[in-house]
Amino acid sequence: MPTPGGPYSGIWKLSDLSKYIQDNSWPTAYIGSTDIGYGLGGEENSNTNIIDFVTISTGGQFLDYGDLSQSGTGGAVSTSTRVVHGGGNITGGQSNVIEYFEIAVKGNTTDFGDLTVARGRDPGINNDTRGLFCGGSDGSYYNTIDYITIASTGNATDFGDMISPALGGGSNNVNSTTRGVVMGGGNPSRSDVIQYITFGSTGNMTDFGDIAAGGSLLNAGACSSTRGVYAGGDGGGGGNQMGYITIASTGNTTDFGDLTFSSSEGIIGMSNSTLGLFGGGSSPGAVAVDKITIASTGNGVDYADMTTTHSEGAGSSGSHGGLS
Amino acid sequence: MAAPNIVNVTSILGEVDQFALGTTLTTTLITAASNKVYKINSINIANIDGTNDAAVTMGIVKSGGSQINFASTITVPADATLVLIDKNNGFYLEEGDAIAGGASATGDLTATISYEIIDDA
Repeated sequence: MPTPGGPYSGIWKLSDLSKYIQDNSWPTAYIGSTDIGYGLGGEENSNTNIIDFVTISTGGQFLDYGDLSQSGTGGAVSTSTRVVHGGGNITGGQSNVIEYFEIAVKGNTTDFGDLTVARGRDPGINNDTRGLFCGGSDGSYYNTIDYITIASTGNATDFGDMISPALGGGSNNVNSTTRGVVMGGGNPSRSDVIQYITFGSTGNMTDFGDIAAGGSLLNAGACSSTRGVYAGGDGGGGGNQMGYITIASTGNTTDFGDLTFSSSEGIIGMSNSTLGLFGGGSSPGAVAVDKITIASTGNGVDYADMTTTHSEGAGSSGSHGGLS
Repeated sequence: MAAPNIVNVTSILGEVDQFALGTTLTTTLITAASNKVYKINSINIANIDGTNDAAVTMGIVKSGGSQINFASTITVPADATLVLIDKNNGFYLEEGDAIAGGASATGDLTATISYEIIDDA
């Protein structure tokens, strides 16, 4: 029988596995893969704390990964080793909790620290070093931008402010290694503003351009290192709209194509820098996930199913365009 | 339709089927035909990817029902074979019942299912 810790090649019976699993030495199929996309929290009829995941390059059925400590609608940032979730509109109030999990360890989250202001619908952007939680809303609206050093647990620090007015519910996950972008949001009407920061320098957001199809709220984002794509939301272009920007160049969005579904307010997004996934939405039971190839415009293709809608929750991955 | 009385069988046919598992975890693999009962003797899951671990999920779908898994996201290490079902824990599939399942990644796992088709016609 192999030594605990491997190698594990050979023929195994379930009784053998149980000994290794009890010893916590049986491998997990998903350990260490940066090609995994995660759905975190959100709501489906009521707030949820579910974290589920899928292999982005293969798609299929999302599987359960673990749980957030609280049920609600926050933002997320991630590196190739760690996923961090911040804030959340939770039942009865708002959360300032920042929590994380290591992608090498399947399971529940661990406390990371606190946001400077408790809030939810606070989209995350990040590079390898810094993670930012931008704006937020729950009746009130926030222009706060918090940042953390993803590799080091601790409380968030003020980074700067979003462009007035304060917005909540913009896109998550649109970033290069140097620049983070938030597209859209609401206060309470839909905003078409695209705004950005440079990760290396604290300060306020700068105007990038507009969402050409009109304001969009509770939309989602996915990106390579050069191109950012937003999808869905309840914008003027319809709930199945997608548009893209070239992250290094300011300007308005260009039409990318359409999702296969249109009930997409509150959808989440994730990417492995080549493929972008958009899924979920505000309708209970809306778990369908579309795939796009970020470098090539075109319509979405039905590709996967989540275990819950994650409406207004967060998507994340270990290989998006903000990571080197 | 009538499930065979296995005291009065007229034939028992040995069968083996093999499947390359995809990532849809509810893919039907074997369905017991009308007027037959299938005795599942073994299900072996082989990870044919020499590098990556993969996870198998498999269950029974009773006729007209939903899938209930007897294995859920069990990791099969690279170049390993998991004996999921053997003669010590075999089971019957009644007419219309099915085995369904899938894997965490396409192209990594194969399923080999050995069974008997029991008929009393």
